[in-house]
Amino acid sequence: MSADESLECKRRSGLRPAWGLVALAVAALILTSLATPVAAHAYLSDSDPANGEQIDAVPDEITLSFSGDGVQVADATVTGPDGADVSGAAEIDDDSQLVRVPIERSADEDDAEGLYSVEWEILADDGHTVSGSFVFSVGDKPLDRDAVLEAHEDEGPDEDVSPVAAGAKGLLLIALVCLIGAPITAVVAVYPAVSRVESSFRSLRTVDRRLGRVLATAGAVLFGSVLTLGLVRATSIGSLSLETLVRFADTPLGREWLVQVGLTALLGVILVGGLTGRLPRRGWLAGTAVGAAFVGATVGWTSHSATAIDRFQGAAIDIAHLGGAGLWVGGLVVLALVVPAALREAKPVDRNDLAAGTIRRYSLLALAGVTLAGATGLVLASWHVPSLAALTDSLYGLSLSAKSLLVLLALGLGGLTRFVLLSRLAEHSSREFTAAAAADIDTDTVSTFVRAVRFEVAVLVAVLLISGLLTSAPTAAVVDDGAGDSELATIEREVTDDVALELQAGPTAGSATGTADETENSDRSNGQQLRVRPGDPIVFDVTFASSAAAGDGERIDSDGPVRLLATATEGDRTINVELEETAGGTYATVQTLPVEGDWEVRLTGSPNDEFVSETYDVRVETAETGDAHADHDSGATGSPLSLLLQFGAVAIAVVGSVAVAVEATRFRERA
Amino acid sequence: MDTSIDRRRLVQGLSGGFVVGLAGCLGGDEDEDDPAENGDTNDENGSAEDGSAGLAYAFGPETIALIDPSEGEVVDELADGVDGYTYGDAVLTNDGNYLFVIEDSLSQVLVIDTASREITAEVAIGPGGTHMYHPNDEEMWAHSDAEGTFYVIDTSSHEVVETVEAGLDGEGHGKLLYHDDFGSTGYATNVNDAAAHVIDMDAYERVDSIELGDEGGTHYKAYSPQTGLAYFERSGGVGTTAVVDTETNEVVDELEFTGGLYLTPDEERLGNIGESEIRLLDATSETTDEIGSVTVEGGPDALEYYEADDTLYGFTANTMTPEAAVIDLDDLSVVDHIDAGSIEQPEDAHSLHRSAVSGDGYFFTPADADGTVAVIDMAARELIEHVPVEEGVGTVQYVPESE
Repeated sequence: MSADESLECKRRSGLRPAWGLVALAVAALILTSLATPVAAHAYLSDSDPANGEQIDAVPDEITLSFSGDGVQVADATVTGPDGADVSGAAEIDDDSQLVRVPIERSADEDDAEGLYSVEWEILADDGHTVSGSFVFSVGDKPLDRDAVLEAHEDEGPDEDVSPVAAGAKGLLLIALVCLIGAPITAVVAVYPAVSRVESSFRSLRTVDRRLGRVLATAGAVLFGSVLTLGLVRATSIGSLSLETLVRFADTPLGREWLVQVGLTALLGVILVGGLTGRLPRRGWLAGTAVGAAFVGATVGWTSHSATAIDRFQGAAIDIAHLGGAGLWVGGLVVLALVVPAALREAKPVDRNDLAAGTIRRYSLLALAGVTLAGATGLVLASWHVPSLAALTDSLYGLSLSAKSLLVLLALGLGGLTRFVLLSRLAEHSSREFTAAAAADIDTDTVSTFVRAVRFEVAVLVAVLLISGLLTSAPTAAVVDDGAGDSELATIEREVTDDVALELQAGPTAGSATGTADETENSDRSNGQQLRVRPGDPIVFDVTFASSAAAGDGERIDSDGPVRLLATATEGDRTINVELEETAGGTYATVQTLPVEGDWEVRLTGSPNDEFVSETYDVRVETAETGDAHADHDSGATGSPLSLLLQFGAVAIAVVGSVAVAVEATRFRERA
Repeated sequence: MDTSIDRRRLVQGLSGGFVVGLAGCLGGDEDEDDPAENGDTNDENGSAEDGSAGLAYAFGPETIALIDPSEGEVVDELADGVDGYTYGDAVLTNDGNYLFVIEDSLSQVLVIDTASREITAEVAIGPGGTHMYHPNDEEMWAHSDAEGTFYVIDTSSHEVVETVEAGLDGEGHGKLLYHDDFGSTGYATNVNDAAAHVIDMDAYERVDSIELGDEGGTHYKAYSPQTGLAYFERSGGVGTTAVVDTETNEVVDELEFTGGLYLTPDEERLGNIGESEIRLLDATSETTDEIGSVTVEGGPDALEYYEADDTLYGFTANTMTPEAAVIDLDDLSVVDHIDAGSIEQPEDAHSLHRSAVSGDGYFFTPADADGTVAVIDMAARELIEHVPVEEGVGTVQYVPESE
């Protein structure tokens, strides 16, 4: 066996484990995508008193029960009827899912009666701050409409994302994919190709030097971004200070951050060792990739998927996604920043071979990486995107849409590099042409190749920056669960020839279902049946106005009381109240419909001294949309889109694996 | 069936065909639309279609039962949509085609087609509906006690066409006094207002209030066509009855008693229901002199007049005993006691009321504790049957035979 044959045998044997790993990943992916997620992100699942509840006396404490993830840090303020803060320091129970807020009771019980508002904020295990508010009342005083609406507006997830956090996260991802993918690409694709050309020594040194710079830069970026992210999260506890950092470090999230910092520092040591020549090339490159993978694991451990779906499943898929991206993007970075220098160092006659050999080897890695990243990406999307509409209705969805488009663009560029430029390089093999002719042709082709790769890298850097935003924003499933909670459904009817009645009611639990004989004023008002959740305080807001046919819609006062009569179709629950006139001239009440099922809500009033009576169907339900987080407890896995995405993930995994196998076989045959 | 017809004819013959109903306040104010009290006569009332003629409607929470008094049994039931209902007055339209009944649990008035025996409309009104009046062929006036407001329902369209705020404070239990003598004027009482409110029933508005004092309110009302005097019970612990001249709307007298006042069919006497007695007053006297009184053990309520053999009898259902008492109002003596079943007697109740209606020689009074309606033959002064109905029936209304 010649030296070349021996080298090729080693290369072949080196590919077998990679091939096996891909097969293993596919199997794991199939199993994961079929598994049912069991947990959820941190959200307020219950409270005592409940939102909108009327109680007889001020409680000793308020309890906030969180489901899904645990609570790391909690803060709550309870404001009494006189506007004073009556809350003590919030305490987190041992199970980290129950927060207790003691109440300072007023000496005068009468003074204690009225509306209480609770504003809370927690730092969850996934590092995200979740906040909200709710109200309850003590005594017989009715709930205030504006306070209830405000509480429900706060109920949904906060889509505000810190630009610093999102930017730091994006840079962290860029650094990680470089640190994971670049060493692997260098070892598997670049060094073997460079070592085959005649001027390999100079080229190898060039590769070493360039690769060292790339990895050192990535390491520095990683350290800086990890540090920044931790500091940003620490500020959720308080203003940035040593005391805040100590408090943050005392939380599980803070401890995870310390581990991350430690791993990053260790990675830095390995890089320094490699760059100063104290560690062998393979050793420090392997150490860098493994170290970066460990840092990636800590990131995956606190990712959306790990905290919202299942710690191990979510983290595994997230890390696999990162690894796939590393193989693809990290390798491209090497191709864009390291290989051109090696090509310049190589003799013109060798450039074709060097470029083609590198691309072929890298293509194998890239194909595996794209397969892994694509399949796991679809699994992640199936967990976090409940519907097509969610792709445009949330920051997460928009970011994911943009990311997907850019990924498709990058794939197109990758295809151009792989199939067009590689073919040209193969056609103009140096051994069939004179050196001068080959040099002319190759210079042009190599330049095109470098430009294409660098553009592809630029696109993928944008993808990674968007991924930073994506991983910092609440997922579309979370936003979708909360979406519409603060919205009021609107139903307008012409009740007489001259008068129209507009009912605004909410927060609703879902879209109204429609009948044709009603005016449709908004997306959520297109029908007769309102859907609300049991136990939720529902605002009913009534406006009388001159009808479109009779006037300009001018508001009309009611000459008699405006009343609401709500009756459960099944059972004997009836609510009969008079609505209060609001400052805006509407008539409003806040009521809780406590029994699940169909209700009839009748509104009566006397606009223009004409008695009018209108009946509305209301459905009170917890199913589907009833629990704000019901969807999310099971992920978005039940939706048709989710099933489609999971199917797509498995299909990509299977097709990608076959493609990798075919490519590996061709590679062996060519070798 | 032939037997029942014969029997009914026999009863009518024996009674001379003259029965007028007057009853207490709560548990159905069916007497409020009584022709005698308001100057109308049964002759003006037309008759029901065959669908319900000669049948009594017993209003239960889940079922409305139709009772054939001659058979002493339930012959039909309305249950569709009836769910946990509580009732106020049930009033038959003058043409007998519809029976309007206040259903308070859902603040509505049910409209029952007497021909088809179906609920044909549910008309929304304000809450706390108790009493309802039929001052003319076109309108039913249902009073919302929670709003102190009358809801005027068109008897053809079955829609509220007007609301009349009668009470001064927008709430309070109230009644309406109307009579042909008043023209378009009506008088409204309200337990929260120490006044009799003057209502322009054409303009649908309160136009004046006759001040009756500083304290208490007004509750029962009556009118004597012979003297042109209207009577307004002063409620709320005042303990008197104000007398108002309807020509001048001025207070002309104050009587030292309280309780419901019921005009006899000949319009010459007024029956006043006390706690344990019935007081008879001279309705032809400007000073409303007391003729005499009779003690009714067991507590009288819901007085129904019945004339036979040139004697005026009063049938009253007792609140404290499971009986109905028959009183000779000419002789002022209790002449009979008839088993009528028991009513619920809650421990915390301030006072007990028991409704009753009569027609075509039958006296009906519900016994909600027993889940029955007692049907009594007024001529024979004997119980026909304790007709089993749903528990909780407190309101009964009879649809007379065609006349």
